[in-house]
Amino acid sequence: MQQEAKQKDIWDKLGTIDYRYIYVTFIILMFIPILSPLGIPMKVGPTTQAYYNTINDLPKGAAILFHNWVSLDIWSDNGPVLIVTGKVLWRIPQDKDITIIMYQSTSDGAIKMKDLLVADLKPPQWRLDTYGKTWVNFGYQLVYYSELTFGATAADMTSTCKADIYNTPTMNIEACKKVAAKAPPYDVLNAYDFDLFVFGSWGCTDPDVVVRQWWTGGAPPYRLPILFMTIGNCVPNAMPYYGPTNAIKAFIPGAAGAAELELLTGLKGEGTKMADITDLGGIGTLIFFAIGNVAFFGKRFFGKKEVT
Amino acid sequence: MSTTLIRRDLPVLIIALFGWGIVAELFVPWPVLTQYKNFMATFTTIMGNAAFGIGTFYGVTAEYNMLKRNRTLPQFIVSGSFFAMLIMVVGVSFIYGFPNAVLGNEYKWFTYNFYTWQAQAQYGVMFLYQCGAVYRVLRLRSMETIVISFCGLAFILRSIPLFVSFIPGVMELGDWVVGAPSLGGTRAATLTTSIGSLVVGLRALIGKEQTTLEVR
Repeated sequence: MQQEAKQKDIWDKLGTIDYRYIYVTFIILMFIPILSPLGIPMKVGPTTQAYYNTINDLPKGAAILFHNWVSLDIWSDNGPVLIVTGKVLWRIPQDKDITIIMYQSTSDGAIKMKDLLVADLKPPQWRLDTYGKTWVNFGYQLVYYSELTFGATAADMTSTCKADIYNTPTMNIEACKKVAAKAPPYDVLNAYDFDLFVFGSWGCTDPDVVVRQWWTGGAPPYRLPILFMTIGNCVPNAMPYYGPTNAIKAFIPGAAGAAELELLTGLKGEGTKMADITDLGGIGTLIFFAIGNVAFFGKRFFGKKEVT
Repeated sequence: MSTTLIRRDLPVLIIALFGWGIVAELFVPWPVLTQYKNFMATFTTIMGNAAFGIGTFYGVTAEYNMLKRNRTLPQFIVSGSFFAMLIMVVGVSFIYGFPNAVLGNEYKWFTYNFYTWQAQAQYGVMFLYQCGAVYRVLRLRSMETIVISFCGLAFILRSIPLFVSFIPGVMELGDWVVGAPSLGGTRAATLTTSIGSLVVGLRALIGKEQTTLEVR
């Protein structure tokens, strides 16, 4: 039996490119916009429009629970979303009398939010002058340490949020008393009292949890509308709950979604810069997908057959 | 007391006693049960942190044992960096106490100048691996991979602002893929895991779940 030494043809070479070349190509592609922003145009999607409309269409006197979602390990994706959302919330005019209660649930958030609140997310002066009356910052709280604590917070915020960052007990804060009085029981601050929950996570099973505890939880169910800040990977997990009559009214998927919201609102930020990087990274992905399949089909239809 | 009683029966009894109370709260509108559930929420937080501390201790000892077994230069560098960071962070925590330690300038410097960069680098490297995987794995060799590739490409194109801006229908196609077939698949997966989790949970509460028992 004769065996020919197997020689790599062009299709084999195309299909087995060294991973290092692939990695270097992507690094170069994604580095280009950092050196020189490309300004590639964007379009605003329906979910981003719905996200913005949900905030703007809140009635006068509404109360927003704002989870300051900070994960420094994915800050390039998470940061633009949080910052543009925060800016949109701070832009709500004073005459709408909207109360914002915020908290952080990660130690990263405890550190980062202190800096953001004096820089990128500095509240407008009228909010600063009315702290405790129009907004409250609870700081780092174990709201979502587990689903139990999450559910306990929905039932009674004081179960996890005992005091704000100035150590004022929760129910001694004027804004909390005002919000708690919106729905019975009038002396308990819970999910019934809020009109919107802006929640963020990159845990793709978290949409199930937040809907379970803040929409279908409670007796009767809280039915608290949710805006979901997340990354692109978790969009399929949010989709079952998305819709105008469903729990998740809209979502923002990572830096790309933040770029759309920045475009919609005119609040330029890191999301717009990240959009160029996303563009070139995506183009690279498509190119290598094409190369891999050209190699596969080329080998299949035009490749040398092995002789044994 | 037998080993089985301490290592299996007693833990199962404790889980059942505490767990059934929380399950009952879902069905019985009794304020005492709600207060019990809220108390357990705090208690499990404490236990969780204690477990985290124990796990950290075992992680540190495991790293030390790895260094003892594998006395090579790369291992010294890896383990040395680990212990250096650990000593630095623990040192800051003990000097300033909690919660001042995590709010102080030293911890913030460590978070911004070490942790953030290395964590984001890990996130970035994961993207590179994904790109390599797209090249190697997404070959249209079967019906399953064709379907996965079509759906994946539709979603990737939808996520790229360049294509959404210049190619009509890309946004609508991507949104349809996420909103229709992907939605069905996600719902099916959620139902399956929910039913499975319920069964495992109930079996754990009655002491029949082998995966939660250390002792048979």
